[in-house]
Amino acid sequence: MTASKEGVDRTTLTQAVMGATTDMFKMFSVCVEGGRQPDGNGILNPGFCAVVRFSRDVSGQVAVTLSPPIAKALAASVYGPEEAASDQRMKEVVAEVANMIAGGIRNNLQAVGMDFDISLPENISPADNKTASQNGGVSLSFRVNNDGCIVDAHLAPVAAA
Amino acid sequence: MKILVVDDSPFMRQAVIKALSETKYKTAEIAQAGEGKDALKQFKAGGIDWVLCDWNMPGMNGLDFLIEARKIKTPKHVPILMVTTEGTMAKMEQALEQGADRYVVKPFTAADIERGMDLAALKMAAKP
Repeated sequence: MTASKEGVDRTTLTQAVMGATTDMFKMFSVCVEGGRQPDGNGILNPGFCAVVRFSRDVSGQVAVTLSPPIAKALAASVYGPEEAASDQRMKEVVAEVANMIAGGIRNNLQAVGMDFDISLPENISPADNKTASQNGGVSLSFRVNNDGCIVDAHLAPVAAA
Repeated sequence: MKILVVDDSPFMRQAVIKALSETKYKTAEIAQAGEGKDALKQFKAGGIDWVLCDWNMPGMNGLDFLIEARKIKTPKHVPILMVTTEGTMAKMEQALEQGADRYVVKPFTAADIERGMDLAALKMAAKP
């Protein structure tokens, strides 16, 4: 793995995203497989998306998209199966998932010499998530409880003034 | 025993409470705060034995809460555990310097929370 203030290579970023995402899902006792490049079909029903932005030494963001069944499964693992899966609850779930994945990516990349700040998570419409199409980013698909989750991440060094 | 759980995410507060329910601290009374100012108000009112606090929150963040809480004289030391995604060594050192007793990085397990609290309790017991 290589990273520096000049940037981070794609393999390093992919490993950081994979590690952060699988660690996060372990907390919720769900079955997760991944990650790989999305097969083009994406998530059949991309219900909820949240983004966390990177700043200071780098610019970029991580966006997490969860299908409603995954968001519901994560909520149920914390609140119990009886808990009503309201949209508000699902938004809280995906926001916190994005927060933990962003923190994990930052912690993984700090180990290879990069350091940056992360913002508070923000819920956005899945349709507004354009991260995967940006240069230098990675987009990984995970299977969680046999359903889909996509994590898009990109970061680029901030040019010195 | 009363534990104050501080996190702006209701989902994460519930995740911490669920984790606590799987530890030896499961019989504790739980109080909650969604941001630092409310946490500080409850801390000042007294009766809090432990605080488990997030770092990144809108309004007063966890570090500012920690700094303000440590200015308050309490009848006994109240351990404060930071439970946060801020997992870098620099952030951990910063929190410990400001008076945090232990540090638990999200994502966590019930065992991580219990271990953090146990180690904070041991540290307290070792103090003269």
